[in-house]
Amino acid sequence: MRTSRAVMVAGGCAAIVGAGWAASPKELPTLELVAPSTPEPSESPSVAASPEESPSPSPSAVVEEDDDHDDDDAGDDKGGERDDDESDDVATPAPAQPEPVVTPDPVVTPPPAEEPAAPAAQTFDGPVVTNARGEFQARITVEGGVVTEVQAVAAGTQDAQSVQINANAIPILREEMLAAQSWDVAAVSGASFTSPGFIESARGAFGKAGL
Amino acid sequence: MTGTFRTTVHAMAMPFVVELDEPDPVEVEPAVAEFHASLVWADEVFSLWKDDSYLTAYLRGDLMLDEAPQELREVLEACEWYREATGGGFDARRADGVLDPTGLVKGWAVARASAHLRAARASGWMVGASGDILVSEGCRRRIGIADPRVQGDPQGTPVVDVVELGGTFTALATSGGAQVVDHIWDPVTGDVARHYMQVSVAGRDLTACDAWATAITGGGPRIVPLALAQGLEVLLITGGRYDGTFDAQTSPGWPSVR
Repeated sequence: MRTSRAVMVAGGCAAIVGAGWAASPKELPTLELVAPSTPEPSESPSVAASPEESPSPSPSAVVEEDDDHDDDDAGDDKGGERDDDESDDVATPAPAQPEPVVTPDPVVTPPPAEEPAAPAAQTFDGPVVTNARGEFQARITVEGGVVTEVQAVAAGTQDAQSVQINANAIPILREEMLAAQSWDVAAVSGASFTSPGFIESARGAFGKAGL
Repeated sequence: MTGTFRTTVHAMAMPFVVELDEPDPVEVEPAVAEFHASLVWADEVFSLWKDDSYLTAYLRGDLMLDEAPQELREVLEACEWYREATGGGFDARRADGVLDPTGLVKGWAVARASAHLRAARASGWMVGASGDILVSEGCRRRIGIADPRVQGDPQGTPVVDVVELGGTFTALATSGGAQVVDHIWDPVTGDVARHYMQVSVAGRDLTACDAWATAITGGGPRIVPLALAQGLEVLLITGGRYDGTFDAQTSPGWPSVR
């Protein structure tokens, strides 16, 4: 009698919990990471190939793999640190971006036609940096001396809050290094400038005023 | 007319480059003249540097808002709307109490004036509005992002990035840089904004791109997620290095074609 009542109560509780779970499945944003690679830089003919080849692992699988790197935390990885700082700066995280970090995007198109030889793309993994917020490892893709892609191999911990923060923060902005180079462009976008005629006129006015 | 019709008109003390692909040879000159007249009119209404502009008269208290052209109310309300939308990053109220919608007027005036370019019946057109670019739908143009150290017209100078407009994005605005130093203020602190060296925003509406570029320059990293939530894409140049390169951040969808 008492046993059967206990079973009924337990079953009722389980049914309520299950119904609640089914009614509000809590979708945590997940951050897609690229799989850690072998230590030597991998030569790949196309940059876009490397993110595609790696099967996008679930966060839990990545963290298990990252445990191997636990010891080498001495390096100073700028990329990882920046991403972390960015998550602090962003007070109100934007809704999760539809485009995850690993998707190949227009940045990694083949180099412009002016360049004679297509330089081979190389990927380099930064050292794993561990701080209070977890582990961070960046991967950069270098093409002819120009950084064309920055990806996250490891970011934060498996902790749900960490995954959520990093999933929001890291895809928002991608670090780049830009150098001024000559390209064939139709126009240039910059901050507003006054027309040379106006400057000439002003100069003339100053000249007249004896200044 | 085959080929591209190119001309430069001057208004608001700024050059506006107009390019029309294969325009109607009869209609092209009047269309550009209408475009120019619209910009000159906007300058006469909104210039803070002219004592007889409607805005100056309104700020002096000589004029009621309903005595001015309705566009004055429209722009001042747009300033208020963008102040809300950008979380206070774009604020036309200066620290000394003067209402200064200059950050919005250029993009707004170009977007408004570009309607007159349709009369030229060109297959595509581009307006280079002193650093801000607007192209017609499907008019694919490669646009460079100026080196933030360049002063004056950046045309022909080495650029730090190249984007393609005319597809998903038709408008591009850039704020900051070396042109006019210290003319953007942080609405929170009231001081001169020095969050980024240069901010570029790509979108479909030049008024919005111009306002958001100004907002991010003034408000800093706090404003960036709000802009991304609006579907805009940003390029932030965060600092220069000793070897002449720049540290920059881009949003994932930034239409770079480097």
